[in-house]
Amino acid sequence: MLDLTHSEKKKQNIAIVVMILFVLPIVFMFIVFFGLAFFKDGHFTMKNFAFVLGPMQLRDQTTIKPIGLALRNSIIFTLGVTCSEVLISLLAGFALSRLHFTGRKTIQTGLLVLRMFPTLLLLIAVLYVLITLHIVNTLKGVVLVALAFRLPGSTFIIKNFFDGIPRDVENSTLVDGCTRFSGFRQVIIYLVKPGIVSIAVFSFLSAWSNFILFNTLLFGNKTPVMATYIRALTRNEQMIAPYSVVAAMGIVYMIPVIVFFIITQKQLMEGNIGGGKGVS
Amino acid sequence: MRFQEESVKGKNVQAYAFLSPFLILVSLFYIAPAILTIVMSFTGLDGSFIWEFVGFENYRKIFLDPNTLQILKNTIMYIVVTMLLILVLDLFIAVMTTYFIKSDSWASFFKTIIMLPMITPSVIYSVLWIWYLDASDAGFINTLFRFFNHSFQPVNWIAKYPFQVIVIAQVVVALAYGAIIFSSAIRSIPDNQFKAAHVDGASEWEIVKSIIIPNIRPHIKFIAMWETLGLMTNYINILLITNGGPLNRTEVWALSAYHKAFIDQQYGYGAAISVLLILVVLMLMLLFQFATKHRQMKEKEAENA
Amino acid sequence: MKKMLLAVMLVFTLITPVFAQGGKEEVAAPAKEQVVSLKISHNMDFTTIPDAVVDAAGRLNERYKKEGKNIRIEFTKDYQTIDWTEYQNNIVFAHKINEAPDFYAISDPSSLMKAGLLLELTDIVKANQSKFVPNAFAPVSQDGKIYAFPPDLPVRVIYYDRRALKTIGWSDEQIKALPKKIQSGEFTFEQFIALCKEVVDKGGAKIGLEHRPGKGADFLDVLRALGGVYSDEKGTLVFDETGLKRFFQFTYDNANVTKITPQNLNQMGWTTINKAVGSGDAFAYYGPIYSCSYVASSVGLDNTQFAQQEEFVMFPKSAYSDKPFVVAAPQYIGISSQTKYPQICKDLLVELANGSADLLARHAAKINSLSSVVAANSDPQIKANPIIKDVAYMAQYAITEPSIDGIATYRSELFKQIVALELGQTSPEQALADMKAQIKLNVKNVIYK
Repeated sequence: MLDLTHSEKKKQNIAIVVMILFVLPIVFMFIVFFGLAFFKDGHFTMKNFAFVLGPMQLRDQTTIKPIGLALRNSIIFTLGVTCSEVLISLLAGFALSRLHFTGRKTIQTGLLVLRMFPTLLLLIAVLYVLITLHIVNTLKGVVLVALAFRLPGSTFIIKNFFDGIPRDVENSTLVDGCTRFSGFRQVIIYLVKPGIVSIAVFSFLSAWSNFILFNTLLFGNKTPVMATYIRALTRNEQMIAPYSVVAAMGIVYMIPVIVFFIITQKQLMEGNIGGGKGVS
Repeated sequence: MRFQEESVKGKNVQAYAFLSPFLILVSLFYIAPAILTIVMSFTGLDGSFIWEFVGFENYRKIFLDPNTLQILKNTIMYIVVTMLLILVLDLFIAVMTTYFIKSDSWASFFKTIIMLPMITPSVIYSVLWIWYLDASDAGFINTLFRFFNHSFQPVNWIAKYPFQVIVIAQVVVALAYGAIIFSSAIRSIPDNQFKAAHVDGASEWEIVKSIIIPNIRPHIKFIAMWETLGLMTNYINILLITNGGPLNRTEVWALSAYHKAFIDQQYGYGAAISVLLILVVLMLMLLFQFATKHRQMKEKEAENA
Repeated sequence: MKKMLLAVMLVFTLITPVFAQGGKEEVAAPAKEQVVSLKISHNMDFTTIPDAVVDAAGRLNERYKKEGKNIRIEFTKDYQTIDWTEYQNNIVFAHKINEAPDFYAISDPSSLMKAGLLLELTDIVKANQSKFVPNAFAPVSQDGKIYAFPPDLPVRVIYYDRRALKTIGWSDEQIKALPKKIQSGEFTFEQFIALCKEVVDKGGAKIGLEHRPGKGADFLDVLRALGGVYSDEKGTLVFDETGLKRFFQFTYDNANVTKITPQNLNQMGWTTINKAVGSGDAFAYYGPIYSCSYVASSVGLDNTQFAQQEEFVMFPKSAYSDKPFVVAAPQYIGISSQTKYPQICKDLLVELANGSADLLARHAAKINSLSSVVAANSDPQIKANPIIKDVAYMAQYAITEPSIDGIATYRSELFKQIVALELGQTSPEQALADMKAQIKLNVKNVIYK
C-alpha cells in the first residue's frame, strides 16, 4: 500500500475529480443509449429484445429474422479467426525471432511493410483471388482473408515478445535434451503469455466487429453475422429499426465482448500491448 | 554443441515449416491482391469485368477531378487534427491516471471507461453517435441544449459540423490505446528522477515537461506514427457516420477509393486511388524508419564517443 | 491446463472451415419427381413481389401434377435489406461466379442489360401482349428486346394534406376541385409551389414541401415539370443546362428564399420526414405512391384513415411543360441469364400474367399501386383499396421512361448538389458547373444541351 503525503493525496483527489468530469460524457452517452433498449413508447419493457427468440416485426412493412443465425456465425467466425491467428503468429513469430535461416531479414522487413498496409483497399483484388480458388461467397473465404490481413500485425507483436526473452532460457532447455519443438513449448508457456493475451484480445475485437469483409466478400443473406445483421437495419439516411431496438441488439452484441474484456482486463492494462519500446 | 551440428538446409526446412501457414495465407490474400490491385489501376475494370488496359487514364482522371483537391485537403486536415488531439489527450490521461492518481483501483476504473469506445463494434458505435446527434427535436444533444435554453432551435449537428463530428468520434475511439502505452511507460520511469525533482522544488508542470515527456519520447513518436498511419487507412467510422459528409466535406482519400470502387463500380479507378495512397503510406514509413535508424546511429555514436 | 487450451485452440482452428461450409443448401429429391430448385432474391420491404412468384410456383406445381408432368418447383428465398447499390453489386458478383439467383430485383436495368445478366423475355411478352398495360416495358427494353417483368405500376405523385387547405380558409368545394383543376391544366406547378408558401405563411402547416432524403428518381420528376430533359427517346443521357439551372434555382429558393423546404431536410431521415408528412406538419411531399403506407404507419394510421386526410395529385403543367403527368416506375424483377431453367422461369411469369394475376393484385393493393397486368386491375383487392381508387385516372397521363445509360450516376450527382443547395452551401451556377464536371468525367455518351 502506498502511503501518500498530504499534498500528493490532495493532488490525487483533484486528478480524480478532473478525470471523472473528463469521462462523464462517455459514460453518459453509453448508459443513456443502451438504456433505450429497455423502453418502448415510454414504458419499461423487454419487448425490444424480441429478435432474440423469433422473427420480429418492426412496423407494418418490415419483419426481421431472429438473431440466432447471425450470432452463431459471428461466434464461429471470431473463435476460428482468433485461435488460428494466435497459433499461426506464434509459430511464425518464433521462427522469425529465434531461428536463423536464409531470407530471415527479408521477411522481417516485409513484415513491417505489410503491417502498415491499407488492407481494406485490396478487397476487389481479393475477390478475384477468392474466385480463382473457388471459395468466394463462403464463410471459409472470409475467415482466411481476415486471418491474412491480421497476421503481419500479430506476428510482429509476438516476435517482439520473443525477442525480449533471453537466449539462456531456450539454450538451457536444449541442453536438457529436449527437441526444438518442446523448447518452443516451454518458452511460450512461461514467458510469452502476455503477448498471446494481447493478440487474442485484439484479434477477437477485430473479428467480432468486422463487417466490411462480410459486406464485400459475401453476396447474399445466407451467412449473416452480427455486424451485417445490425448494419442491415441502420443506414445513414434511413433507420429501418427504431433506436430502442438497435440499442437492444447492441447490448446482445456487446455482451460477449464485455465478458471477454473483463477476463483479460488485467493483462491489457499492464500495457503489454507490445511494440511500445524498440519499435523496429 | 547440438545446434551447430544442424546444417543450414536443415535449419531452413525447420524455419519454413514454422512459417508456412503464415507465408501461404499472406502471399495468397495479401501480396497477390496487392500486385493485382496495382495492375488493376491501369485498367478500366468496371461492372462488366472486362480487363482492358487503359494506361494512365485512371491517374489522369484523379488529377482532373475537381473533387480531388477537396478530398486531399480533408484527408490532411483530418489526420493532423485528430492525431494531435489524440496525442495531447493521451498524455493528459496517462499523466493523470499514472502520475497524479497513485491508487491502482481508480486508475483502472478510468482506463476501463476509456477503453469502452474502443471495444464497441463500429456498427454500434456509429449508431450511438448518430442517435446522440439526431437532428430532430428528440435528439439527445438537442434536447439537452433545449433544457438550458428554451428558445434553442434543434441543430443538425452531423450536417452542420460533419468534420468536427468525425474527428471527435475517432479521437474517442483511439484514446485507449495510446493512453495505456503512455501509462505503462510513465510507470517505468525510475522513481529517483521524480524524487530528485521534488528535492529541487520543481512544480508539477515542470516535472511533466522535463521528466515525463523526455522519458517517454520514443513512445510518443510511436503513437504519433501509429495513429497517423491508422487514420490514413481506416475509413470505417467515417463511412458509417457521414459517408463522406454533405457534398464531400468529410470525404477522405481512403473512403473515396471505396466509393469509386464499390458504389460507382469503377474498380480500376478505385484501384488507382488506392495505389496512390499506398505509395504515400510507404513513403511515410520509410521516412520514419530512416529517422529511427538515424537516431539509433546517433545514440551509438554518443555511446562510443 | 495449458495443454488443454492448446488442444482446444487447435480443434477450433481445424473445425472452423468445416462448420463454415454452412450456407449451401441441398434439396433431397424424392425418387421419381424432378425437383427444380430455384432461388429468388429480393431487397427491401416489398416482399409481396417475390412471394407472388413463389406462390405462383405453387399453383404451377399443381397444374403440372394435373397435366401429369413430374416436375416440382421449389424456391429458396434470399431476402435482404441493404443499400440498392450494394444489392446490385452482389447480383453482379454472383453472376461472375455462376451462383446468381434465378429471380432477382432490379434497381438499375441499363447496366444489367449492358452486362448481359438478364434473360430475354420478348417472346413471352409478345405472346401475352394484351394482358399487360401498354408501355409497361419501356425502361427495360433495348433494341426492341425486353428483359424484365413489371410486377406493379406505381406512379410518383405529389401528396398534400387537405386539412391544411381547410385551415387557411378554403371551402370544401375548392378543396375538392383542386385535383380536377390540376388535371385540366388550370392549376399550374408554379401556382402549386406558391400555394405551399401560402399554407406556411397562413399557419396551415409548418413546412411547405418535403421530399425523400436520398438519391432517388423523384427529383427527375421536378426537373421534368420545369421543362428539363434528361434523356432522348433512344435512352442516351442528356445534360440539359437550361433545365438543370432552373431546377437548381428552384431547389435553392425553396430552402433558402421562400423557405418552404427545411434546409437540413436531407439529414433528417425517413422517420422524421414521414412523421411530418403524416401528421400534417408538412403540407406537401413528392414521391412514389407506395411511400404513403410508410407515412401512414409512422403516425399510426392505416391506409383508409390516411386517405381521408391526404390527396394525391399529378405533377401539374407548368410554364415549361404542356400537360400534367406522372411517371410510372415499376419495380422490375428479372430472370438471370445464367438460370438453368429458363423455360420454367418464363412459365412462372406467364402464369403471373394470366391465372395468378390475383397474386399481383395482392402485391399492388399492399403498396397502393395499380398493377401492370390488366386483369389484376379489376381484382377486388385493388378495387377495395381507397387510395388506388382515387389515383386510377392517372393511368392515362402516365409516362414511362426508356432505359437510360448512366442515369444512376446522374441521379447520384444530382442529389449531392441538391443537398448542398438546400443547405445553402453552393449556388445554382456552381452546382451546375460541378455536376457537369462530374458527369463529363464519369459517364461516356452524354448529349450536352
